[in-house]
Amino acid sequence: MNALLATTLALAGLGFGGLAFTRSSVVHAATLVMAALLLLAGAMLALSAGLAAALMILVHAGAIVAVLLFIALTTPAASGRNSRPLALVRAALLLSPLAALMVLGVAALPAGLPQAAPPVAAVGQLLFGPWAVGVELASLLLLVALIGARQLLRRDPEDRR
Amino acid sequence: MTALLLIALAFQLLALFAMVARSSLLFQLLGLELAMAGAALAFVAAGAFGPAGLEAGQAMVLVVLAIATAEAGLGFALYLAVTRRGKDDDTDKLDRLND
Repeated sequence: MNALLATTLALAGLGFGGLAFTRSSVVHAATLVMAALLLLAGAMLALSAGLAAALMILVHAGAIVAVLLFIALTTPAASGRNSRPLALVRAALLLSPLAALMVLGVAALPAGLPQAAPPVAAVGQLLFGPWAVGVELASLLLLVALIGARQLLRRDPEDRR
Repeated sequence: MTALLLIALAFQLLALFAMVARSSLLFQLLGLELAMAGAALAFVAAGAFGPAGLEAGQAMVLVVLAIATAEAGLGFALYLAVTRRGKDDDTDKLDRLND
């Protein structure tokens, strides 16, 4: 039952995500992507992954896409009109072999049984125990991205005058 | 699990479609966000039904979100750097950062 609910919510999210790239306005597209992310969070909640669902709502939909919305609303050049010619044909040609390979890979997986929700402490023990190096690498990546963003937006001394 | 993994795969393909079909930088960034969300769904589904356990799936979502945040931060900075110079955000026309 929970797996069925999760699949339905994820499918609805996929529909919203697909709709986003038919829009010409980036604000409309970002709103649809936000709805897709919230539905995905619902799907994760149905799979008893409450922590992942909360993170998706707070960080992905609540922070990243919200900042993108602010940027789209406050910069003048955010126009979504420029779409490439013959986009559907080019995308289908590029993606169909890849899609076929991925579907074959998924079909070859063994089926499993759903599990009960683990305590959040188990996630923490995993992150700061065996996965500590990976978590440190992710934090290093964030630091480098922060420095890179600051460097990209640095103003030249003559611009300040 | 197979249905959820297929939906996660569809999210990846949708993101690739966005990269191919739209040339606006913000649309491409939105597509990348959906790719990250699809990866997160795949990890949760694999954790919920696979041998690794749901705690491993949720921990991977945390790592995926760290990568998504880093990517979004750099992408937004790039977009702002482009628009500050008064250019259009068409990635077909952008080839330099320093003019």
